[in-house]
Amino acid sequence: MTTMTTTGPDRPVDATGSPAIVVRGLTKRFGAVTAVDDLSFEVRPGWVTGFLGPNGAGKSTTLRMLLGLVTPDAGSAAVLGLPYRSLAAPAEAVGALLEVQSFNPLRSGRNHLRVLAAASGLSDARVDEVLTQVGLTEAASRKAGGYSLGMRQRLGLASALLGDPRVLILDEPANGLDPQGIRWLREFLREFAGLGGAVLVSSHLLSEMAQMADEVIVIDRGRLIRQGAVAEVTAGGRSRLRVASPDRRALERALIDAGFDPRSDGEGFLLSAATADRVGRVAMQAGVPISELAKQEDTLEDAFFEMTDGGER
Amino acid sequence: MRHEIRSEFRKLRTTRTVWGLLGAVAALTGLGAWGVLAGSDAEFAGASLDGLPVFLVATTVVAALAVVAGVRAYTDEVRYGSIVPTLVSTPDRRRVVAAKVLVIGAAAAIFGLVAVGVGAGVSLVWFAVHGVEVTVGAAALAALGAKMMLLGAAWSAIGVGVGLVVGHQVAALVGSLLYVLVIEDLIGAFAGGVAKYLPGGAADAVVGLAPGGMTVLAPVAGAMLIAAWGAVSVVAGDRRLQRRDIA
Repeated sequence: MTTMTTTGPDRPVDATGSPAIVVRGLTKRFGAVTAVDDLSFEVRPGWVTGFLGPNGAGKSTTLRMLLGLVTPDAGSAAVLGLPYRSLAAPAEAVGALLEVQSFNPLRSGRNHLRVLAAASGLSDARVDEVLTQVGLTEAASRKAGGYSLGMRQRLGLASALLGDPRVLILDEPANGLDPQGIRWLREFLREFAGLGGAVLVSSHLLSEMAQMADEVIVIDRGRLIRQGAVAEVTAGGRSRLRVASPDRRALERALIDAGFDPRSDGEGFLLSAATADRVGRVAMQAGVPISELAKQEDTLEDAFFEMTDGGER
Repeated sequence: MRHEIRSEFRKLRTTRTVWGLLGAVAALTGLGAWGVLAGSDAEFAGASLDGLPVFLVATTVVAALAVVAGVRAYTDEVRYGSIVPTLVSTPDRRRVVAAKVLVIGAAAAIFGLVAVGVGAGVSLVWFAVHGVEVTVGAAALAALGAKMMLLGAAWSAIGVGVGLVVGHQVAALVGSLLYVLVIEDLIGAFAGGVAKYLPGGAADAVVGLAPGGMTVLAPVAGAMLIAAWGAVSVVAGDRRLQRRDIA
């Protein structure tokens, strides 16, 4: 955890030991809205656990309850076996990044971190270490109000890393990072987990999460939809076939006649519960030329949309 | 508590906010003192410096700006979102409140000291220009300085509590300034018997300068009373913060 470079994905073979985060029956209502509804899950050390859900699904509220910022109406949230507010040295246990903007814009990045370092009894030398780690040393003396979105995220990450914690809780950390930054974050989290740390990282960007996480927790409307390894979650979905023809209308007719339910997808169609063999045969019998016939593996994104009703409200 | 105090002190030191407020204390007290002396028909010859109405201006200026400093202690953090890392670093919210009260209180005490220094200095210049002889009792002036430091600290504690209870910065600032500058005078006008027990009445008692012949408590009683107002405000603010969801 002291360098920015990593040696590639280092997936944990087994996750031993007790869970780093345990959430049981967590519930929070804001007025008439139930933001989090009887939510239970665990996060294991050695894993990057993605926390997925559409905007407004209750991700941020859950993370805030984990960090003692929001008091649950029911249930419990424990980090390293204790409620957050009972941790003796919270900065050494948990590093958190919740909002892009969480600093006084008139304070320099370095001074922002020094304020937090002082509160946790950490040295100013540690501040310079984390600034180097996130690549913010050059901008450290400038007022943080002038930082770009990506720099703000890096400053937030630096504050999360200050106490050299065992658990990272990050809310949409990739938000605003450029592709290089996202790649760095991914490798960093992999290395962090590879060294035995636990990571709970939320996102509504599924493609990003598919590359970043070992395991995902999917919630929608405050409820747990699914928890499992990325491969497991996507395996639950159906694989589909993509087929296209220069004679699009003839292909559609032939498919419908053969009992398929073709879903329009750009130039071609998507078919569920179909095999290439059968579709090829149908097309040949109908005399329709085929320009494309490919199996499409369900992505995490597809699985996610199926689980959350297309993410629509 | 050592860590939290150090962190709050750094918050104060790393922006110019507190310097701006201190500058305002000096400027407003200086202008106010000059205005009071220039606009007064009173015969000042032989007067004791520490008993001048100049320091009535100073008490109001210190009250207003100490309350502003206090209100901003929490509401700035809400406004900028830094309350999240603050409470993540220090989940024991009572410690955060206590550190803010202590550090902002110390700064506001300096407001009081500066107000007395500027008030005395401007008065001396005015008297010198106008050839009026006044008595400068160093001990009395020092005592006034100490009293004003207490008032600054107490008003800032009231402000910290108001900021914590109200939460919204603009509402808390407008409300507390209206109270200090207008509302308490109105209460005094309509219910004079109550006014001496209010924070402003207690503050006047501490410095022993009753505006318009208003009756005030003994200085020691006034000091205890305004300290109590500060304590009540902080306790109320702490209770509110304990229950507040930082959502």
